[in-house]
Amino acid sequence: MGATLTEKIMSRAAGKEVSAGDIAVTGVDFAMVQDINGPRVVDVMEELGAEGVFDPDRTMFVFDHYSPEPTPLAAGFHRKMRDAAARFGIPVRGIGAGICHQLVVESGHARPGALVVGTDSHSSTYGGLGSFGVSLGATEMAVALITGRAWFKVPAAIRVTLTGSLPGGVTGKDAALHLIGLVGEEGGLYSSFEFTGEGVASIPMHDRLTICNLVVDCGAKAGLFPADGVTSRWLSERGLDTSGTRQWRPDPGAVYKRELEIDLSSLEPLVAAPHAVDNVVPLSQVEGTPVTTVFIGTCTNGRLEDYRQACAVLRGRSVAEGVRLLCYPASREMQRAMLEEGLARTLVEAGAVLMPPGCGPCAGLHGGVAGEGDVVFSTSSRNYRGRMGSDAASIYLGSPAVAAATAVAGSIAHPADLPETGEMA
Amino acid sequence: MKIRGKVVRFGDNVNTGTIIPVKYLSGAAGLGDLVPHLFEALRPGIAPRLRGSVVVGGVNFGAGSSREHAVTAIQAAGVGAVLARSFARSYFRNAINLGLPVVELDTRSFEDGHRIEADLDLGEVRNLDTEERHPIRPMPEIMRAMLREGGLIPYFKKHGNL
Repeated sequence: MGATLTEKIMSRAAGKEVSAGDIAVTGVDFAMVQDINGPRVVDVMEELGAEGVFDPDRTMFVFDHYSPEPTPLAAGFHRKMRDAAARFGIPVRGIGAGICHQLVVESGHARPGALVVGTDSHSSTYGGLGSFGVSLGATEMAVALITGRAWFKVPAAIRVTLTGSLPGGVTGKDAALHLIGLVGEEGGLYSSFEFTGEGVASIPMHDRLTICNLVVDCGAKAGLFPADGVTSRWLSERGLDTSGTRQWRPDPGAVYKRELEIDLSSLEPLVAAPHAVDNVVPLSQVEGTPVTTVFIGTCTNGRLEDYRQACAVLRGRSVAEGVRLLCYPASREMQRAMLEEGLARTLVEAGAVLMPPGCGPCAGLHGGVAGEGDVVFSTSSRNYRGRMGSDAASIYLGSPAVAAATAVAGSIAHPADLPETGEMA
Repeated sequence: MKIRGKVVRFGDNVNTGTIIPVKYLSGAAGLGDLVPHLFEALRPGIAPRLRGSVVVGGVNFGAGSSREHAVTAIQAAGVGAVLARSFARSYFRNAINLGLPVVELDTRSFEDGHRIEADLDLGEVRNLDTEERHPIRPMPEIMRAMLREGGLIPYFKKHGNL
């Protein structure tokens, strides 16, 4: 009997064969801590008398949710984490470095077959690279940092067979929203999603990261793409070792708890309407809805390719009067590339507010939060009531190109429906 | 382990941002500052009624973020246990790690104000108002052990490892 990719990675990490439903105590290959949960991680490590971490080179503290610090208390959280990191030898990525998940991806530690833990629910992002990325709470992260171990119930997997390829203007974000709409907000509970089929090869790495990022928003424990040519190319372009990566794919005959099929060619731009991520509707259904705020960024859609798509719409155009467009690159590497490619200039000339790398107002913490009556179009992952600030704000979720078109039109818009600029985009 | 309390009832997909909005964290010096904001968008003014209660949810309780504040603030409010048809995995784990009893069972017949008793050793929840008995979905031994010890910290102090 074959094993799912989930079972193969869990078995490798546990040092013995495990199957869906088993409890596995595993080693962890990398451990990331962000600044919401970091102070508590430090407290627990101190309470447990920690003298060090299992391997400092496989750990990272990231200051992204409070980047830069909005309150004296938040500045204190960072000071506390810095002091502890210095004591334990943990590398710190300070404010402006970027969003934790993007930094883990760029670090090269989210390799095919790796088990990566993070104190943030969107740790599932690493599955785009064939890495089992999974979130831990602060208390169990403290134990993982000390021991290099964690325990898991091996999840049963849901197979998502992809056919065809995404039409122009349709992105990984739309595919992910389609999946969430299909299974519902709780449809992935206690499960992993494994993407297979001939359609996989057509999905570029940034879209794989976006798709795996979002699986947690239908309750899944992890999402996994198999390691293939796209993965190898991505690794080798960054000077990373590609040897042994191709084994990280499901075995033929693996047993799945549920089978889903998505014809990528049939997808259209989608939007998650207020106030639930699974309230997914075609873009056409909400077109024309006036907005006050557009937010492009986050661990979901703040990568270079996302800004290329947004800037293709914004070039030669201006943000509508009365609308604020907030742009937060996912990392300093992305920010630098945006400067080099002229994307930063396009954003500024269009009237966007270009912010430093970080999470921005995604969780309502700072840097352009939503007030009463605000209607936000965001490329982020969550549109719960109150998520970005006021309970009396509404949040629509969609792709970067649609976000850009919406900023220009002042109401939710399809990029193709904007008036011509008279300039090649 | 037995827990008694009056039901405070919520629906499906109660997420961590609804339990305690993240926007309050950067202004909260301690858990006491978070308690008044528990569930405020869903049921304004509910916080004082949580002491000695049992919070009951539908499916996917604790969806969203992996923040432990969504567990510790509920504990600080004096909630005895959380019962739901299913939990988001991170919420379930955090609760066990922090020593908050969480129980999976069919909660559809529970109503606000019902008096209930959860017997974790016997593996059932009794509704003292309707006299119904509901079996609890069993949890893995490692989780039961942690709950017995009072959470992951005392468990780790005792065993020295996982």
